[in-house]
Amino acid sequence: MTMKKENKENEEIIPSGITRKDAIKKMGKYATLTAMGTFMILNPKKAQAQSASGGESDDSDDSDDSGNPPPPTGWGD
Amino acid sequence: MISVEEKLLVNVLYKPESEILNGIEINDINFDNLIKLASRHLMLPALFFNINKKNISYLFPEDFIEYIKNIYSINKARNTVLLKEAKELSELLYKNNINHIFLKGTALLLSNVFEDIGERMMCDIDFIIQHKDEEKVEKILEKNNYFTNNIIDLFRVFKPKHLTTRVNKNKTIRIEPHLELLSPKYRVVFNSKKLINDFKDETKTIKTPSKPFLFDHCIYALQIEDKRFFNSYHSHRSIYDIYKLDCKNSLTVKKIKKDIFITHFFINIDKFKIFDIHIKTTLLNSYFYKFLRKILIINQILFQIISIIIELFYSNELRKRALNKISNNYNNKTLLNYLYKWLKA
Repeated sequence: MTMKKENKENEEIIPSGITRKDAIKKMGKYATLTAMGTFMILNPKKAQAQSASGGESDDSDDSDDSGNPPPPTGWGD
Repeated sequence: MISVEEKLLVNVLYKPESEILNGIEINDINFDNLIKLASRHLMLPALFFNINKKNISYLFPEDFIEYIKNIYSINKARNTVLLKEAKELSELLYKNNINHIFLKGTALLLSNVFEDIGERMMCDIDFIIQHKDEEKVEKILEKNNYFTNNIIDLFRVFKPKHLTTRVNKNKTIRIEPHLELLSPKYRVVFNSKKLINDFKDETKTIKTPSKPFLFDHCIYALQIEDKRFFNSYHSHRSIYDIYKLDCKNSLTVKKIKKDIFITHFFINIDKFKIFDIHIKTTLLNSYFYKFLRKILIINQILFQIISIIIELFYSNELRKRALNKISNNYNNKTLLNYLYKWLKA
């Protein structure tokens, strides 16, 4: 069972000893480059919020402004 | 033109260890771009799985490996939950005598198409039911805390592709009960009749379609529903699905050429040299594709217009909404005024 502590600056410390801020910093470089779709899938709450507001989410098709291809929905999902 | 990062992604996913650096100078790789590309195609977990399997992590920066390993682990944990929840859902439907078949990513995972359940990123649990069970399923799901916030259509000319997606507040993954495989306008090409024999079998839990069906569904959904037939974009996740379905032995140029959508899929990805199948495009072919695309686009537009007219004709609620919209927004436009009067009459 993992225990969470809070220090004076109200910062969570996880058992490995690094702060949440450090963890984000560590993941940060690549996390900022990762497409939103990946996080939307991995974060169930966000995915649920999306589904609750969304209707048929699978019909999106347009590429973004930078000319990147649309996210690969595949299978319409 | 394929970027060097995409070449590396393809090699890592499909080539043996000895061929991964074929035609690639590792110092030319921009790992930031590789993350962007792989994540846009939902392929980070598969990328890590293959790097690990082929023992080539020494080619990548440590923090890169650590990052994609984290993504893979989270995805694997999520897919474990997804499988558990799919089984629970299947039990629930079975108890209520609802014949159901899992589709898409869920079906692939349940059919053990992947070596590892952490490889494939998935949004929701897709399954198909028979039209006759629609109301019963809605009631069962509602009774068992699978809720939806989406508005249910009061009137429908055609059966929708799927019922509204639902989420159980005590579970993690949303569910999507399908009535059909594609949207109404594309059903001439591919529809749930292909599953009639599977539905004829007795009701049981965890039913999945055959691999050839999954192959067809993957390609039609991508080419038609996701509109890849109308542009040259490809989806690495779908290519990987097709590769993992392992239809290599049954795939021949002759078979592929029988179907324009399957042909287009293989023409589109020919540049990656993943499959040992090369389909040449002639000038006549490319004109034919252009012509066919235009026909399909016109068909879509006509279908849309006819559906709207029929819906407006039959549904008071929709007619009222349309009237309000027109009267609020387009008072000064002659044509729409004419339409407004016509609808009112």
